[in-house]
Amino acid sequence: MQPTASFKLAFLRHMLAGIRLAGGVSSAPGMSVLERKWAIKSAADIAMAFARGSRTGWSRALVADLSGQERNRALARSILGREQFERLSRPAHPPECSLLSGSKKILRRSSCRVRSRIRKRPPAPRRATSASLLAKRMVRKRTQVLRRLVPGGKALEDDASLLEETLDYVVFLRAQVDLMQHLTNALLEPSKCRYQY
Amino acid sequence: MSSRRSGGSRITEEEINELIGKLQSLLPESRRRSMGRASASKLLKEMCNYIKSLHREVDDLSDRLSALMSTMDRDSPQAEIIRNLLR
Repeated sequence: MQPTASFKLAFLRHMLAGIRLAGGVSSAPGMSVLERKWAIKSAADIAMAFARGSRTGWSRALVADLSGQERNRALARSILGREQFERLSRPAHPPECSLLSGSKKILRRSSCRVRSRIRKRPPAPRRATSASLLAKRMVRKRTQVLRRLVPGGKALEDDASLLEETLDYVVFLRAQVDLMQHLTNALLEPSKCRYQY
Repeated sequence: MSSRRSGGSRITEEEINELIGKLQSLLPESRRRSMGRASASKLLKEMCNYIKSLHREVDDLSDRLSALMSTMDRDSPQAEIIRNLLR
């Protein structure tokens, strides 16, 4: 899956709406620089997740994370419009994986499994570690880091799903950076603005 | 997403290698070169570093956009651009 022209347009449209709402001096005069920065960053994530849609775990998780705070919910609702915000927050198909409650269920299930796994396994005997054992440990350790970096990564049960989500997420994360860069350039030098959708 | 695994199916070595190959091709050339001989653990490390750097870029760009906004007023050409783009 690569970012399509429609993704880029959807992202920019919602990003700009977010900037207008929360960024402009005239629209939000009382905002501090930090508040403005946070609002722009949230707008960028909301725009990215919404443009991607509800079919990927990371986009759903991003919306779930962002919706956790009331101030984000209000921003998201204003950027996306009430109808689209409700649609994105609604359970994704299949119906059993509902956004917030579903991911909570998965988290609870996987944490229970982790807990019972820890209880059942006896402590590993200390012995000279072979290279392959060390490699396995490194892979496990780094997989954990990856889970924290990819939205919704902690809720994914198997490593292959994590890798698939990572693949998709990185592609669109790159697009987000690219689009924000172009937006910044366009605002800095409007006469030189040239962007191919 | 194209492939959704059912609860009990085992992920084949081949599938994992395919995913790893795809992840490797996502990395920019400079990062791939610094990796040397690819191993699962090195790839994961590079991938994590890459994602972190992308996050930092988003953060940095948010800073810049926010600074830009602060200097913008209703009558500036930038405000006009935004208004036009939103139409």
